[in-house]
Amino acid sequence: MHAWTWFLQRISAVILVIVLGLHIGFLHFSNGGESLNYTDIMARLKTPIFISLDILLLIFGLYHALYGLYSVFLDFDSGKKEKIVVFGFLVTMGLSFLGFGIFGLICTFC
Amino acid sequence: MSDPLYVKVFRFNPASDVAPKFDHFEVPVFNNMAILDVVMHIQNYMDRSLSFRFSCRIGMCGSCAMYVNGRARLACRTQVSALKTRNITIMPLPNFPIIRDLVVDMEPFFQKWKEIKPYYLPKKEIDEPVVIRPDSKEREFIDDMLDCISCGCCYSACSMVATNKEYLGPAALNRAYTLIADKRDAIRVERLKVVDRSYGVWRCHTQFNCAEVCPKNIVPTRSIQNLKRRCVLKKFGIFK
Amino acid sequence: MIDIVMAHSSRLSHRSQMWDATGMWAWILHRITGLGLVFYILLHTILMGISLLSGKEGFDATLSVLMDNPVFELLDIMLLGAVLYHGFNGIRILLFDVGIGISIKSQKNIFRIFMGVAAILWFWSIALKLG
Repeated sequence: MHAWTWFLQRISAVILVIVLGLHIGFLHFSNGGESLNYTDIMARLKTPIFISLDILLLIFGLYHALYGLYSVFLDFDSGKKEKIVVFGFLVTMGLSFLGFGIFGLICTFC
Repeated sequence: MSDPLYVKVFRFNPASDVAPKFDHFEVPVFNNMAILDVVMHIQNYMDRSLSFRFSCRIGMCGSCAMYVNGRARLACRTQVSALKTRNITIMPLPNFPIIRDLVVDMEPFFQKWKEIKPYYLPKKEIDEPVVIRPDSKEREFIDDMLDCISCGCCYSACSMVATNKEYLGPAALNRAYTLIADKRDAIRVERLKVVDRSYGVWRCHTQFNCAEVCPKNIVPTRSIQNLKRRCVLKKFGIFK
Repeated sequence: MIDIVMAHSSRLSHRSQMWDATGMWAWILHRITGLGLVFYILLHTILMGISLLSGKEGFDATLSVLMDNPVFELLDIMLLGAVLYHGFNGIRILLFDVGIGISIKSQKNIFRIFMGVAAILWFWSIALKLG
């Protein structure tokens, strides 16, 4: 299992470097550093490209972050039961945040 | 150099001491003095009860590894002049249980060493002697990694060994690499399975402490990175 | 077989840290920024999600606090610093993963170069934000 999860961590890292760079660039640097408001963001967000970008960010960002947490946990001594519990907790957290995030992105149009 | 060295030595005798302490000695210096000379002088002329390990005196056996002025080093290969100070602090290797004074219990280290089966097993279907030319590409950098004298310096410098009791450690993983990369070996795949565990290669975070302290200039990080690649490639069905 | 009673005193594990080694610091800071960013991404997801769902007024109110309050501007700068550090050191680690730069000297040089670039980007962004 660990070879896969580690490999995915690296893939998510590459994707995040690109997507996060775009995210920060568009949000904070494309309008000269002025404050953002709802209208601006909605105008940008209503396109399929940007919704996809943000969903990608959510998926890979959450995976990278939570696997990172798991990695820190594994660096310390723990029993087999603890490992399963923490893993399950992190997966649950990840899916919940992902669900809520996607809901927030898409359902502004509901 | 006429001024002496001011040496602080870690002392702990479980039979008689409640807690560890430091003893202070002023040791006269001579040309090309090594740390091993320092502790031998203390033992010969100042305190016969000081305990430490040594054997070959020439950096081949790995017995005299100690923690000197903030780093794990071989006592016989560490020149006093290289430390560039008169104040010397000598302690036993970190990450090991202490038997007495500067002598540590190497058993955890060798248990992990054994776990990766650190010996070559020939494939039955090939005729011995198997010839792999010294300049052939498939030796990759195996040759550089074969010099390990199992001194324990890398193991004591690694933060992952410090926090995780099960982690195999840089020495064992490095040795495992030299055999997994060896096409003549019969149990390469089994060895890869042993290191492909959460307490195997995946605990290494490329800190490079091991490479910094290795008295043989081995870079276990490189071996471990190679092993990680092999583990991933194996999942895709590739194993060279 | 002689039974030797081994003294198992406390492991001197804190002494395995090498405070004079670049790789050691690179790893520690990567971990610290990583933990900070995990906390941030979870907070950000919740905050942005709620703001988006609460309609125009709610969203604008939240955003005006986040973007105009000087405390949050400082936090923003630190966040960018953390992202740049973690990102660039992360790229350094990716280089190790494909076999580039795995020697004592190279890994330090790569670290210095990448941090130099990250620092330039960071200061440039701060200038943009304040100017």
